[in-house]
Amino acid sequence: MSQFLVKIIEFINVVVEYTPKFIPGVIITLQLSFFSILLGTILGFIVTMFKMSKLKPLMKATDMYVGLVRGTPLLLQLIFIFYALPEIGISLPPFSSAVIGLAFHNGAYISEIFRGAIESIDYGQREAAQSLGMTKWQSMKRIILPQAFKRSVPALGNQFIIAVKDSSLASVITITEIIMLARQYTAATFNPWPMLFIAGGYYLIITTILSKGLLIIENRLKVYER
Amino acid sequence: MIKKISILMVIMMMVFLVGCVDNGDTTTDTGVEADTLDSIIERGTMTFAMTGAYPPFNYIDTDGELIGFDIDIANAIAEKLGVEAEPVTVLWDGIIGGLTSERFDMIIGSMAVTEDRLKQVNFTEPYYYDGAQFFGKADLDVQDISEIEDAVVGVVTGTTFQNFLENMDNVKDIMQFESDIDNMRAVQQGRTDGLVTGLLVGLNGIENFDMPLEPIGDPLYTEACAIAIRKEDPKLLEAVDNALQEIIEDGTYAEISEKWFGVNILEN
Repeated sequence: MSQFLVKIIEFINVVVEYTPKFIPGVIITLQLSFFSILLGTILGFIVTMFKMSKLKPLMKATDMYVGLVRGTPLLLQLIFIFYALPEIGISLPPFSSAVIGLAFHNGAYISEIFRGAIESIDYGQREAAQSLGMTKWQSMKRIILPQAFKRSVPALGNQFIIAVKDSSLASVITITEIIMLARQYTAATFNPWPMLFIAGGYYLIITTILSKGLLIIENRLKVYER
Repeated sequence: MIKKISILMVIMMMVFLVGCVDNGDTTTDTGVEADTLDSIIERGTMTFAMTGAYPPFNYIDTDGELIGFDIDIANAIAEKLGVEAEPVTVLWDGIIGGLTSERFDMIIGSMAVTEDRLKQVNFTEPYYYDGAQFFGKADLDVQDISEIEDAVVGVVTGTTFQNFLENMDNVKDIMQFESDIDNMRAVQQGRTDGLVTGLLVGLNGIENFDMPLEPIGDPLYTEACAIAIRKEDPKLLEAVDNALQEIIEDGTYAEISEKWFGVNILEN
């Protein structure tokens, strides 16, 4: 029994010692998540608008983008951008490769989230807007999109949390974020348990704060509803 | 929210505290500790781990076959023990953990003997000596790694090379890779100024894979590479040491070394 207690104390010691050492990785994870979510959302929105524009070539192009990016693993996309593109002359530094890969990936999923939210708005809203004399884009901007955005927050929140965790794949293209540090320190101390606990802990904290933030946004948007 | 995070962390910690439970030693009915050597002989196979990404010591050729100096040594030792050798490829930064958690019987993957590692595992006598060497892009034009300002150098995570570079002040960025093959390619693509790896590995990369690298400066340090075996397997350690001694004495070792390097690398 006392052996167990000794080991627990050892474990806690290592955790306390190494938790601050993970902070550079946490910063990088936060940066990766932030940029990939921001760029991914913008990209997703643009793609949805293209899709709803009813212009055949735009719709086809976005279909292909979404199909390709959703249909292949994120890991494959990151490895492609980092290892394959340089051979045809497009050599991006690791951080940019990761942000672009993650943003592209998130954008495809987010565009589908937006599309689902927009299409879920009752057709009556569109009719009413048209009957008031609004053009398609005016009705989109003033009536449809604000409501659609509210609808999309839960699913978007999901995707944002996924984006934070997906940032861990950047470790495969040499980015020293949380998981890479966990592996590095595990290799140095031969003890995976405290390191993986610390890594898991940081991710837990980040995603919980994010979820809470999204809940607050959702409730703020619901103020107008009973 | 703080409450929620704390509760989740406590639950997670309980899961991770499982690692603090002492692994009981395997015992037979007579109460004697079972050495892995016995189970190897019973099974007829010995499993050994390496990365398969360290040419010419262990790598995968164009036909998908795992080959290399380490592989040949492993096969020779297995033959002396009267069993078959079965390779297991793993990532380098988890290889010692894999050994101590009994995923395989030993490591024959060009692992260097270090004090820290000796605290975790036992090593046989060295089966070759190598030097850590800095290889730079062919056009770097310096005499030594310390001359490069703000160097960006590549290494594989968990290697002794990584430890060494972390103590160098002029190295601005250490890029971590999972394999030396990716590491060398990064230099080729201009992402790094160079890499540190085993002298023999780098030279092989230059010769056989056309990597635009050059050894720059003298070897940073030499190391002895040996076979790693769990601390609980003293009988296995002895048996493998004996087998290794036998293949050195009867010329099998020299033959394997000549095949891959043209010289006997035990006499470096």
